[in-house]
Amino acid sequence: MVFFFYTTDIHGSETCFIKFVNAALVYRVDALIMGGDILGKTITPIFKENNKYTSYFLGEEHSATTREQLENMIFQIRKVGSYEYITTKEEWDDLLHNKEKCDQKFLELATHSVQRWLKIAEDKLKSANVKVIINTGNDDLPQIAQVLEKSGFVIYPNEKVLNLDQDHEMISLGYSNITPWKLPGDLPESMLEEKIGALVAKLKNVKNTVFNIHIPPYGCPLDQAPKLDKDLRPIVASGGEVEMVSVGSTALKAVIEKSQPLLGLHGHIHEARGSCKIGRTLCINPGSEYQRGILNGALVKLEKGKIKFHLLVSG
Amino acid sequence: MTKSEEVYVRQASGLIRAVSSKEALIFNLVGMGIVINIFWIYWASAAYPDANLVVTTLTTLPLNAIFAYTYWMLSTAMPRTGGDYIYVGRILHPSLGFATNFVFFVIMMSWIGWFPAVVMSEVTPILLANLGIVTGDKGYFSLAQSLSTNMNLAFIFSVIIVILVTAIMLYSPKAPIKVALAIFAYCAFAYIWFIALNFMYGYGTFATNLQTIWNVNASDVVNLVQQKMGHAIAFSTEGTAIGLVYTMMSYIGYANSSYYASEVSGKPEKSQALAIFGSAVIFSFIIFLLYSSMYYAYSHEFLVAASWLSVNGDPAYTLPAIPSPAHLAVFLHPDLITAVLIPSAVALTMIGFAITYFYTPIRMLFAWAFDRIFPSWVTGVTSRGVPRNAILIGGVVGIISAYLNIYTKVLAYISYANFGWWIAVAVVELCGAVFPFVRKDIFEASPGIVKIKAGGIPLISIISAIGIPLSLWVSYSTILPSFTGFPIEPIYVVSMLFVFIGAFIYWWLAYLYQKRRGIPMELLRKTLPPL
Repeated sequence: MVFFFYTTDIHGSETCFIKFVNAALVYRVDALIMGGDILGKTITPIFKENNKYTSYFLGEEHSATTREQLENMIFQIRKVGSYEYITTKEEWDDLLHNKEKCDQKFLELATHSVQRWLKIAEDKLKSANVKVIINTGNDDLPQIAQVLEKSGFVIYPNEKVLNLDQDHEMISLGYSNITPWKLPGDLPESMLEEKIGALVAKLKNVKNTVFNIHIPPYGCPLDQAPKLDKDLRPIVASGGEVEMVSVGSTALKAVIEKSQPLLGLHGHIHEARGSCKIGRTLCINPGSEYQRGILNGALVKLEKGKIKFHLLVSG
Repeated sequence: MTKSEEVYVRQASGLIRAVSSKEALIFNLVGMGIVINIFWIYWASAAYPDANLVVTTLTTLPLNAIFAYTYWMLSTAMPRTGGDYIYVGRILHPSLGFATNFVFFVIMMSWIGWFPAVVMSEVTPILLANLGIVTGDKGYFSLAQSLSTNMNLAFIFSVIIVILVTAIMLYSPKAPIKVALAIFAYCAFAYIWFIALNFMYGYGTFATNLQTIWNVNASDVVNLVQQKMGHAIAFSTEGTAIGLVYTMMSYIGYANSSYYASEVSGKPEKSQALAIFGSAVIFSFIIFLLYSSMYYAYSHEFLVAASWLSVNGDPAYTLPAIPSPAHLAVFLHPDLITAVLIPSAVALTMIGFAITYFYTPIRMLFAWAFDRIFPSWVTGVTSRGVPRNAILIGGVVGIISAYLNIYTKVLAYISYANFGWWIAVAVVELCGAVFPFVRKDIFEASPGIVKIKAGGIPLISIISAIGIPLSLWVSYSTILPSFTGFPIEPIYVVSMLFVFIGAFIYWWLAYLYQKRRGIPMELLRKTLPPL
């Protein structure tokens, strides 16, 4: 028997990560599972000038003159999933005009952030008997995998088979089929099929398995995302609503239909919170509201060969 | 350097929300009905002849601001779909959250079937009577008369509207919002037209045209009713105090956006401020102008006198439709546009109610099913993200409510809906008052605006504490004989309380059932500390 909390797509929100860690204590689970897309998307500069710090984020200008105010400013930036960078306007201008330097700075800040998170997780949970499993998603830089691999505390599960308990194995895959953004973790369906197939081949009993696969299967309520135009803007239909389209993986769908695992844990599509059944397989996408510091997740209890219950929670 | 350039954005995927804060504002206004008081004033004038409704609009704004503040702050602290179900559930107990939310649900669902029936039996006859006046075709009058008494037609029309609204809901998540926006645009035009006519022509023109077109002397009507009432028709402080309660009812709807808060884009402290506070403030100005213009064009005395005769079925009342200004306007300015535009806007407002009071409880149903209080199949959504099963349930409940409203007295407790509504509001106010102390974790993690203090005490506690007796006072006032015109009916009071208690018991039964299945529903109430 295993009772775990699953969440995904926190996109750099430190508030959400701390909630994720606290979920182990609040819900008293055996395992915490993060489904990927843990990195933020932006760097927010904080300009220092004559002991005054100014920054522009969330549509407003913020300023700080005391250490407490600066800490609060940093907290707010981290809460929405951005990385703060204390700099000067000259240095920032210079950085913005050099994409390579920007990307390098982003990697540096993201790495520091993940390392800080890992320290937080270890400090809070080292005395708790809980497995902490954190995967990367298609949005995450490949270098972050190494940071997670090196951690002596959390388990990096990508492309591995893990035992959740003596009865239930879990395979994990953090890649996605090709997205309009052409991200580091985007792979063609044929490669996904190959990778999932290779993992399934290693399983003792696929029927008792958990598929921790970042993308949802194609053509179910969990994979409905806005259809985008060539400029990556949502297409608004004549009725005024955003046109939705299935963006899940056909390869994953085929594997689930064929092998019928016990449970599928997915994410990737923030708007598609919910659960559905594909044959006997329960598929869950807890959705994501990381920008508001809300951690959406799922509590799942597995008993030998069956799902005792699942609850979609919002913490 | 521009501000947009100041943040480095790497290539990454994005997220959208379906409802903008401006759309939420307008949706709330549609739920309040910007022209509905053109219709209701005839009833209010008969029930509260001494009430100065213009004064009540200004007086009730700060009172409603108290409730709006509580909803604004709670939806900012907990911007999740479900509204008070979430607030009360997390602050007090999930069973109380469900019971409170269920009261709102039952009342709203009861309205879905009722408003279309009113459109058919009371508003359409006004439209037909107006057409009779401007065209001179007397056939319209007899048709109006037959419609006002044909209950089967009212039922068929209600069913058609409920099915239509269900279809709109099923079409896409945004379709009801778009339809509501279209209704708002039409009603806004009708509102401007109506106000302009009233202020341009005034009572003199109205009285002259009434005499010319229908051979009714407005002064004679006023004198006759004053004789029958035994006193002059005039404003009084006591009457206006009762009118306050009536006007408080008119504001219902400004908190609707809190029920689908997670679908509204932008920071909740700003988007909900615009939607909740904005709609309450804008609405107060809307009805202030509306009442002022109606008193100017038709006079308080005539409105009261004509309404009194109509409501009491007095044979001295000879106009071809009820004396709503939607009908009286055609005497002020007898043209086809006025004849059709004003009553059709009132009818569309009522259909807009059917949409908004369908949309909101569907979100409640969805939230309950997510939490396993209702079967999980209720959460089924279509490929367009439409909560299909919850909508279909809502459609069936809407048709049942239409049937019960029209053919039976089962929903007679609906006359005490306001009583139940304001009791439920009192529970929400209680939540707001104790929130900073009972759920320190959520309070401390809330945006700064929620944590504002006055004299060391959280402002939300102070304002919500004022809201508790205020909402209880409104609740009690709605059943007083001076407000309803009838003695208090204990059975209706008990019926309304039973809805609350019944829902409370249902939650515990659902809890015990799920517990037996090994599902710990108490975990749903947990909030994860962000520190």
